[in-house]
Amino acid sequence: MEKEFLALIRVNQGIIHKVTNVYCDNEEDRKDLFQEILAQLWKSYPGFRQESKFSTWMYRIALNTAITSFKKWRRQPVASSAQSLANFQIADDNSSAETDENIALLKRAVSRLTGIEKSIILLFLENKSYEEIADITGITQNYVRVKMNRIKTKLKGFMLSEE
Amino acid sequence: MGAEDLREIWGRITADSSGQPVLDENQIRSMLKKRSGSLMEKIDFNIRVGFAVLLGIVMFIVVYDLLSFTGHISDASLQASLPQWLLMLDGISNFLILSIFVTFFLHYFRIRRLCQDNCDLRHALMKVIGILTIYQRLFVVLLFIIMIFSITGFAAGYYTSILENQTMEGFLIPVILFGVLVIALLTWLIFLLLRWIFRRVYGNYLDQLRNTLAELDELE
Repeated sequence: MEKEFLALIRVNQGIIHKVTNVYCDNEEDRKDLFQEILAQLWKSYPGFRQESKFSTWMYRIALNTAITSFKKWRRQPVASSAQSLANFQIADDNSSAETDENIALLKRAVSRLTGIEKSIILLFLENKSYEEIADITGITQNYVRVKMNRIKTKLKGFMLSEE
Repeated sequence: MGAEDLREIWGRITADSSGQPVLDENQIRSMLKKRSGSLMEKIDFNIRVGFAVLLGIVMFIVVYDLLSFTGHISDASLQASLPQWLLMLDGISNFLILSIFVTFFLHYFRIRRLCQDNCDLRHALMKVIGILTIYQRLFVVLLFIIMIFSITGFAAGYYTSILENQTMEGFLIPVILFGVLVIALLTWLIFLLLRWIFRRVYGNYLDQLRNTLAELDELE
C-alpha cells in the first residue's frame, strides 16, 4: 500500500504545492504545511475507496488540513496575506506584458480572499465542477454558485482597484 | 474578466514552475517518517489521558464512599450517625459526577464520529471545533467534580468531627457554609486561570475556525 501511495503522491504532488502556495506566505510555512498535508493524506489513505477521483480526494484532505492548520493560524492570524501566492511563477516566459500584469493582479487578488473563498476559487480555477466543489466543501451546489459569483465580483473589484 | 479568462490566467500559474522541488518517492517517504503528530492528534491524546484521569477520580469517589458507608475505612457508627440530608447530598453528588462523566464521554465519541478521515470541509471544521471545545470543557468538568467531591467530603468530615468532639454544635451550619464558599472560590479562581491559559493558546485559533464555519454556513 505504501508503494502505491507514494507513486500516487509523486504524480499528484502539484496539488499539494498549489494548496500550500495559496495558503502560505513564506517558505517555512509552505514546507510545514506540505508535510502536514502529506501526513494527513497517508493517515487517510486506507479510507480512500476510489468512489471519487484521487485528485478530488487529495484536494479535500489538503484543503481541510490547510484551513484547520494550527500553525498557519498561529503564524498568520490575519485571513489573507499580500505575500501569499508570490511563490508562483509564470509558466510561459514569452508571455506578453499585459498577460504578466493580469497574472500578477490575479495572484494579489486571490491572496486577499478569505480561507473558504480561496479554497472555492482554487477548485474552480482547477476546473472542478460545482458538484465536486460542493462535495469537497460540504456546501450545496446552489451555494457554491452564489459564493462563486460573489468571489468573482470580489476578485474583479480587487483587480480593478489595483489597475 | 470572465471565468474562462480567469482560468486561462490561472493555467499559466503552474505548480510545476512554482519553484518547489519535485519530490521523488524516497524523499516523500523520508518526509513521512520525519513527521511529528499534528496538533489535533496531540489534543486527542490529551483528551484520552484526561478521560482516564476522570475515570480514575470517579471510581475512587464511588469506591471510597462505598467503603466509608460499609465502615471499612471509618467508624461505621459515625457514618450511621450522619444526618440523612448529608447522605442524600453525597448520593446525589455521586450520581451527578457519574452522569457528567458518561454524558461527556458520549459527547466526545459523537464528535469523533462526526468526521472520519475523508470528510468534507464543513464536517472537518465542526470536528476540530468540537474537539477543542471538549478539551476546554474537560478541565472545567474535572474542576467541577473535584469541587463537588471536596464540598461533600468537607461537610461529612466536619460533621463527623463534631459528632466525635461534641463541641461547636452551634457553629455547624455557618462553618460548613464558609468552607463551601472557600472551596467554591478556590475552584472559581482555578477555573479563571485555566480559561485564561486556554484562550491565550487556542482562543484566536478557535475564533478563526468558528468564523470560517460561519462563513460556510451563512447561506445554508
